[in-house]
Amino acid sequence: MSRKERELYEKHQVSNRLHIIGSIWLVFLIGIPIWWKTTEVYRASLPYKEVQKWQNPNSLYINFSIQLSYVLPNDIGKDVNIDLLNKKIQSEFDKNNVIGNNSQESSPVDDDFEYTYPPKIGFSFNVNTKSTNKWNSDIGLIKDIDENFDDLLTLDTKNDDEYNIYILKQKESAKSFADIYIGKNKQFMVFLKELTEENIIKYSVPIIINLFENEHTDIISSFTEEREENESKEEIKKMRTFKYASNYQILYSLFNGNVNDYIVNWDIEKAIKSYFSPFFETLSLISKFEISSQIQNFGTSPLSAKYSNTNDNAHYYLETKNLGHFINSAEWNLASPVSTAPPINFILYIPPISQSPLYIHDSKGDILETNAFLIPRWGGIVIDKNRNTTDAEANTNGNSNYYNYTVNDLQPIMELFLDQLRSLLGINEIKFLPTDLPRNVRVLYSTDSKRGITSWELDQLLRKRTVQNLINASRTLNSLAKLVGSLSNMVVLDKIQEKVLFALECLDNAYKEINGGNYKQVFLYSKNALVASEEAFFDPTMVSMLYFPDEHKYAVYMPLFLPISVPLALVLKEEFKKRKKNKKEKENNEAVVDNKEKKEIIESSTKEVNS
Amino acid sequence: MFKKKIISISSFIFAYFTIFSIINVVYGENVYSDSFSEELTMKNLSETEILAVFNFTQTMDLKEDNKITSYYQLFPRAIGQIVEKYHVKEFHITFTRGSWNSYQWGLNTLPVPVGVEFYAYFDANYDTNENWSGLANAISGVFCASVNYIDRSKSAKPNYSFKPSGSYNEEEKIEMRYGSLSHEGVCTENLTPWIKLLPCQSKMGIAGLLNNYKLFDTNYYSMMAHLIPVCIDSECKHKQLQLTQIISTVFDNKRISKNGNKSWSTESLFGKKISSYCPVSTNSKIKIELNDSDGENNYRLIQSPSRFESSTKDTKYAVYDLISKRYDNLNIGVNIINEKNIQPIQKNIGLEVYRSQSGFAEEYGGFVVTMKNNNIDKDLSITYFDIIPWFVNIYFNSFKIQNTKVKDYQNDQYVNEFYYEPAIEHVNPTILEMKMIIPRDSTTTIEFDFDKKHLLYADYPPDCARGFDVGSAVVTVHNITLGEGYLYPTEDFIRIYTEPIVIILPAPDFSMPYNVITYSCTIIALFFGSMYNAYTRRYIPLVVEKEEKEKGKNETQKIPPPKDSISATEKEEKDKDK
Repeated sequence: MSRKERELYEKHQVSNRLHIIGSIWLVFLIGIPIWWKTTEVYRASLPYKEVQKWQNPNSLYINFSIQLSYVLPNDIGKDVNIDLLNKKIQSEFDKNNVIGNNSQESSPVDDDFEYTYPPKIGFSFNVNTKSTNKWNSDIGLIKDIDENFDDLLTLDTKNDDEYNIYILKQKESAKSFADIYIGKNKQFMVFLKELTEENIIKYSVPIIINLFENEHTDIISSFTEEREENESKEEIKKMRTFKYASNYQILYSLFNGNVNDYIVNWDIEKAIKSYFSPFFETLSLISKFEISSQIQNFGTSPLSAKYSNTNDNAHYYLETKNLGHFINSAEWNLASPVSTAPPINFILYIPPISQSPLYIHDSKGDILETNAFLIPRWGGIVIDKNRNTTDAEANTNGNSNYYNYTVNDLQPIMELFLDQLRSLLGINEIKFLPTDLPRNVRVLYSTDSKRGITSWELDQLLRKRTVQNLINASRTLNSLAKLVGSLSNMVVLDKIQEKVLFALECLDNAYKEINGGNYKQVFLYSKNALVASEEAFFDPTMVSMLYFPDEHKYAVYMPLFLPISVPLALVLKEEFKKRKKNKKEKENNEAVVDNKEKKEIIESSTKEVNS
Repeated sequence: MFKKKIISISSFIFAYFTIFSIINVVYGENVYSDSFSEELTMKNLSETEILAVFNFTQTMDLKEDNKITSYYQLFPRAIGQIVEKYHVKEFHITFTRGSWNSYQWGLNTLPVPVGVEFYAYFDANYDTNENWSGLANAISGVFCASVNYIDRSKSAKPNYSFKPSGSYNEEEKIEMRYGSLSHEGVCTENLTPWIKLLPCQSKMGIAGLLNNYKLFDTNYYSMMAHLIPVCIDSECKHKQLQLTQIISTVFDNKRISKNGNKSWSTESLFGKKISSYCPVSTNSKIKIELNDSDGENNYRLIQSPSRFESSTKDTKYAVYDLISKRYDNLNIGVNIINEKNIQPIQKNIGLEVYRSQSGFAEEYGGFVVTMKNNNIDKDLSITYFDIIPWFVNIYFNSFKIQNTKVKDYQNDQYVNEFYYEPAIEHVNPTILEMKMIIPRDSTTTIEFDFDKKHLLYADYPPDCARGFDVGSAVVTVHNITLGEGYLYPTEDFIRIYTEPIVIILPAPDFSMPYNVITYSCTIIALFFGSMYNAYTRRYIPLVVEKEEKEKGKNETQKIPPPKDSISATEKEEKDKDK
């Protein structure tokens, strides 16, 4: 075979080989994405952009508009230009509103998923002034100022989103410049000696603003729970409050220290119906409560009481610092087998005779008046100090002593429970510090003994929970997005996507509604957003990725991929090498040929020259 | 004679309940509307074996609309809330370790299969399948058991075998589900939550005798909880819930007593003395059944009892009423004087039931059920009920029902009802229910064959080499008069359970899928590698020009290509050089 033939043959072979290598690589390049796609887990796409939008502090700005309605009785209203007064009051509010719109500053929009706390909340006030002929300005002089007074002075307005500010006459004998009375039905009554415009503004506007300022700080501070270093009283108070849930289960337990001492029973059903039902009904808008009760015998606490015999008052006592260990959760049947709603426990504990009377000592060693304590985010406990031997003897029947707590017996205990429940649910009492008020102003507070919560408190709770829910919902969605983003093997089902979309829709709706002043509607949206986002986050299908990790996949396919990829890569490498070499050779050859030709030319020329 | 006996029993029951209710008025009524009663019955089953039965009964009144109140007193809230949530009318759960030796101990008055048996009745107005799985999950949480493994594919709806034990009025529609787990190991972890349901737990009263170490060191241990609705008024409009918790154990005195002493007492059996009674109980009694034969005293009681009671002529009870008299810190028991006279006392109903597996190897198998009626004067009407899991394929054509006495047995006269529901993989088991009559002194055998299935990889349990459990078959004997010692003495049937069976299914080597993957991958890789190599190798004809060396011969020789192409190129270069 001549050289030419051989080169031709080789050329043919090279192109053949290239085809082979190329086609096999092509198969692999197409095959790998197909394999990748077919072994992938199902992931519904989540609206990351939308979720991220809610992390922007500016989009989370919550502005509550507060409708205030000044009501003047006709006898003073007829002397006053109501429109003018309205304008004056409105401008006064706008001027002094430190928590309103104007405090909104645009902070740089961060593309990162981090959310900056605390959230931004504002209050804006809309004033409306009117006069009424339902009562005269001196009604406060005739009637006693108590709960019934609030009901008497309730305007029959359909719009119960309004706060009513009543201007009334103050008793001449009063020592203060002005009396403020905060009624239970969203009333704010100002008793003045001189009913001038100036006084009306002076003794209402700053105090109302202050009232909402307090609420503002309360909401803001409820988001700073992560800070643990400075455990001030406020911080501890916040720690008590349960996280929001749409359902709570409330369990009233009667724990009998030693059933040998007494057999006890209680009329708890009636007591709850009369002391708690109105409260639960009022709060049913915010959360639902599943109520049950039980009696447990031999509820021995792991905490042993100490004995004290000072001041002729022999008694056993528990120390405040140890009270957290009072609960014997292993033996006390407190858990519910059917519900996963957060449980709130209330325990009436009857110490055994061998340890009674049982009191609680505070840090100074004094006996606590209530003999009750609260375990944060768990519930409340009341230790009965009235049961002792003499009592039991009076009720001796047969072999054992028995005692039945009647509804009347239970009243003080239920009051303590109610108080504890209020603080566990995060209901703040409306209170002014003396420094918050103008000089020489006296404030009276009404309580709602029937419902256990006034409308002011309910509204505050509603607003607080709304803000918390909105923030928590967006926070949960963000965590979910982050999680799904970071774990590529996590299965995301369509229902998760649906829930996320629903939560986002609710967030949108809540923000649309928030300026309308319809807190209840806004709250419902916020609640739905939170529930949907948490359901998505805690869905059991989100955990399944744990069982199919990437490492597994690679380990299984390794025996295929490794031996195949090695020759593939090597041959390709060789081919490149060869081509490079051939190229060089060719160049070299050409150079040689060139040289030869040159030589020949030179030779011939020299020949010519020679000849 | 027979009728008289019934009258005497019923009059005894009547008297018993009147006494009971009087006590109720005196002690309980003022404090709670719930009631609690505790009882312990002990007796010799044989010379050395002692049966101890604890019975704790709690009741709770239902509200006027027969709903459960959420304000609990003594009745366990855990049970009440479950019953309320899943619309349960009645449930029965039993945990058993060891099997009842009916040859020596007679008929088990509290019949149970080995492992867990669980069945319940639901309000038919709701979705029963959903409630059943909800109840199973909740109950498994309450008793720390794996009852939640009884899912739809393991449960059935018997038609003839089970009747509700509670009382119902005509308006109520109920639906039943039945399931069992023969593989469930019963231990202290189940007993602890069981005790927690008692109002005094194990701190006082008869429950104070429940000692984990002693109870599980027995030949037979059975623990149960039965919840039924009971009518209060005659029209059954107002009801109460009755929760009966029973522990039935057989102690082996041969093993327990140190010096071969046949006498026994609460202290020797339970390692504890009586600690008074539970103060909230309305009835607290310890009973010792005295098996005195022929007017001769075989026993001497350690403590003198409150009274003696006798239900029939032969049985006499020494009753210790813990409420009326204090037996605190005392040891209640018997010294056996005349050990030779102590014979197994329990009568039997004369039916023996066995179920065994036929066939060999891991491909085919079969069941043979033998039911032997030993009564000479009585035909027995029974219902055979069997749940066979879906992992065996039953051949319906292989069914053979035969009787030793009756030639043409398989007809309507003897086999009254035949219910057969074929299995659906993963969905429901094969359900077999037969109502039949077993003539006196004859043996009926039921035979059928099956295929053992190859399961999917994920269907095998972790320890599949142990085999797959088939729960006990249930034989219900109808038209029987029960007496004392039974759970619900007024019922007219008793159940007999066969032993459970373990079927060995063909099980794969579980590393197989990975092996297959790796082997096949390696083969593919080898094949691919060599083929690819062959395709891409450069074959160069090596031309050796031998003209210069050998004249006349112009031979071209192809030598196999060199291993690496570099050598080939080298040769090229050499050629070039030439």
